[in-house]
Amino acid sequence: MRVTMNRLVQATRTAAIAVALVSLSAATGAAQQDAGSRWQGWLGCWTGAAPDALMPSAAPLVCITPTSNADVVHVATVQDGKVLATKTIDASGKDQPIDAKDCTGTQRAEWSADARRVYLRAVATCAGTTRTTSGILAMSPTGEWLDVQGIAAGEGENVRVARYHDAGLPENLPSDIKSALEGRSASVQGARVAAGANVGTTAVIEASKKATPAVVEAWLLERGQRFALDAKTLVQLADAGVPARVTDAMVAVTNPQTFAVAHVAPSTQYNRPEDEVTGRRIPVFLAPPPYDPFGWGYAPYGYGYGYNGYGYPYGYGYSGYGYGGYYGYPYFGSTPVIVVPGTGNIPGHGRMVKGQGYQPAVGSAGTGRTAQPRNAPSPSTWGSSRSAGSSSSGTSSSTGSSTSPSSTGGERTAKPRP
Amino acid sequence: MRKRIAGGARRSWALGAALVAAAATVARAQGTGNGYLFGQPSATLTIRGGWSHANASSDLFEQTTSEFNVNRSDFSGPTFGGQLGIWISPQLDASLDVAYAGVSRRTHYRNFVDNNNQEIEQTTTLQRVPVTANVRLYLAPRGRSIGTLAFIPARIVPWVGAGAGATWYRFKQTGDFIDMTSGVVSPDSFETSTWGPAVQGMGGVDLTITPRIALTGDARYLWSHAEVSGDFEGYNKIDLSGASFTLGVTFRL
Repeated sequence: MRVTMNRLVQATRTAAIAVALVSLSAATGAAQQDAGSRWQGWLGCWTGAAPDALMPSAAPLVCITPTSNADVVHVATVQDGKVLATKTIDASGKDQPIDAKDCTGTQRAEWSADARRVYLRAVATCAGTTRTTSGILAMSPTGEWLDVQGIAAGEGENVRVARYHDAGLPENLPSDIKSALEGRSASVQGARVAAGANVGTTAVIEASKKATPAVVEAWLLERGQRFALDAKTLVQLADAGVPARVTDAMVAVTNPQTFAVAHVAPSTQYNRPEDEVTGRRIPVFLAPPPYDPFGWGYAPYGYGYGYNGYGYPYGYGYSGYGYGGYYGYPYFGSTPVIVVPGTGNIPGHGRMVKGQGYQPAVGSAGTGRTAQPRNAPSPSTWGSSRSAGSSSSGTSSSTGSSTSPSSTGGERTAKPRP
Repeated sequence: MRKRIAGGARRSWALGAALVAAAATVARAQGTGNGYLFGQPSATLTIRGGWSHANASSDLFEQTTSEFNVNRSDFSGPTFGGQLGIWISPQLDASLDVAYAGVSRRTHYRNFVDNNNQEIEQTTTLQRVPVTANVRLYLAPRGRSIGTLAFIPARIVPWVGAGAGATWYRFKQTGDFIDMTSGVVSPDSFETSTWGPAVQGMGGVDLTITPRIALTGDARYLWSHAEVSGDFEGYNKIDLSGASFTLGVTFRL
C-alpha cells in the first residue's frame, strides 16, 4: 500500500514538475521583467501550516513582495489588513549590517547554485551575548514554504522549522501588497513546484557548507525526500565533508521501511512544557510576530528540532522501530552449537588396555567365533606372547594363560590372518 | 551403532542448518540500505564447514592403528562450527567459537580373522568439540561508518586470532574384539570421553558478498590434549590437536 502511494505521489510530482516547467517557460517573459524573479516561488501571502485547532483566529500573514532588485524582497507581517512590520531579505550574498536595537553584527542571504533555496547566516551581538543564526528558506515538494532556522548561543543550537502554505490574496490586504502580487498565480505556482522538486547530493553538499548541520538535517527531514543513496554516494558525501547528522537524515528518509521520522501529534504537544517530556520531543511554540528571517521564523504554529546544551538531539527523532529499535533487536547469541551425539555404553563390557589390547569383562559371552592369525591355518596355542599389531607399533598382547580354541566348543575365536 | 552415529551427524547438520536459517532471518529482519548497513554491526555469527586434520599422535592412536586397519589420517574428517563474535572495537572482536569434528571408521583386525576366516570388525569413532573464547584482530578496518546510521562493510578484511578453552572428545570402539589370552572374539564397546584444555591460533579473511553477509575463509590450529579414562587404561593423554580449514558464511548482526 505504501509502495503504491509512494509511486502515486512520485508520479504526481513528476507530472507537476513537468507542468511547472511548461508554466515556467511560458511565464519566463513576464517573470524576467519582474524584479525579484528569483523569488518567484516565494511571492505571495503565507500563513502557518498547522491544524485548524491550533491556529489562532485572524492569524497574521507573511506577505513577500518583489522589489526592483532581483535578489531583494520585502517581507511584511500583516494582520487584519494592517502591516505590523516589514523586513527586507537581500539574497545577493553580501554581508549586511544588522539593523536592530542594541544589536550589532552582520547578516547575509544568498541563493543556492540552483536558485531553489536561500541560505541565511547572521552573527549578532546583543546585550553582550553573541548568537549565530543559520537558516534555509526552501520549498517543500508540495509547494509549501519551509523556513528552517537554527540559533546558536554558547554551545547549544536550537533549530526550529516553520512550514507555511499559500494564503491567497485576502480582500483586506493593503493595496500596495495586493497590487504587487496580483496576476502572478501561474508563474508563482510553477516556480514553487520547481523549487520544491527533488534535490540531489550536490545540493546537500552545498547546503552543508552554507548552513549548520542541524539546520540541514532538519531541512532534509522536513522534506522527507528519498535519495538514491548507495554506499558509493555515502562515501562521496562523507568525503565532501557532509556532517554525520546530515547523512543520518538522508539515510533515515531514504529507508522509511526501517526508519520513521517522528512527528509527534501537535495536539499532544501543543503548549506542553518542555521539561514534561522525556526523551525525544518536539517543542511547540508560539512565536510572536513579526516574521524575522534571521530570528525565529514567525509562524503562529511551529515546531522545533530542539537540541539541548549537550548537543543531544531530542527534536526530530527516529521511531521505536527505526533507529532505536534497530539496536533493540535481539542478538542471535547464546546459542552455540553444542553437538551431543547419542551415547550408549554396553554394560558389563571389557576394556582396552595399553599394550595388551582387548580385555573382556568377566563372564562376558563370546560370539561363537574364534580368531586365528591371518595367513595361518590356525593358531597352535593362545597365551604365548603374540603381536596384535604391526611390528612398528610396539604393542603386543601378552597372555597369562593358554587356552585352546577347541576347548571353547562353538565359540568364535580368532586366528592369525591366513 | 552406525545408525546412531549417522543420526547424531544428521542432527548436528540440522542444527547447523537451523542456525543458518535463523541468522538469515534475523539479518533479513534488520534490513539494509543499498550497499550499507543501518549502523555498525554489533555482532557477527559465522557458520562454517570444512576439513579438520587430526594429528592423532598419542599412544592410543598408535595402538589402534597398529591393531586395526585404520591409519592416523583416517581420524581426520569433516568439521563444522559456529562462532558468535562481539564487536569490541573497529578492528577487534571477542568471540565464542564451537566446532565439531567427527569421524567413524569401520575397521577390522589387521592380523587376525575369526575361525570362519571372517573379518573381526569394529567401528572406531573419534569426535572432537573444541569450545574456545577468542580474540580476533582485523588487519584492516572492517568498514566505514558514515554518520551513525550507515556502515559500509569493507570488501575484503584479513584477520588473525587466538583463543583458549577446552576440547570435549569421545573416542569409542564398538564391535568384536579378541581376548588375547584366549583368542575368543567377543562383542564389546569401549569409550573414553572428557574435556581437555585447548588453545588455538587462527587466521582468515572475510569477503563481503552483501552488506549483511560475508564469506569467511578460515585456517586454524588447535593444540589440545586430554586424559584417557573410562574403558581405556594406562594410556597417555590423547592428542586432539590438529589444523582445520573451513569456509563459512558470516552474518553481520
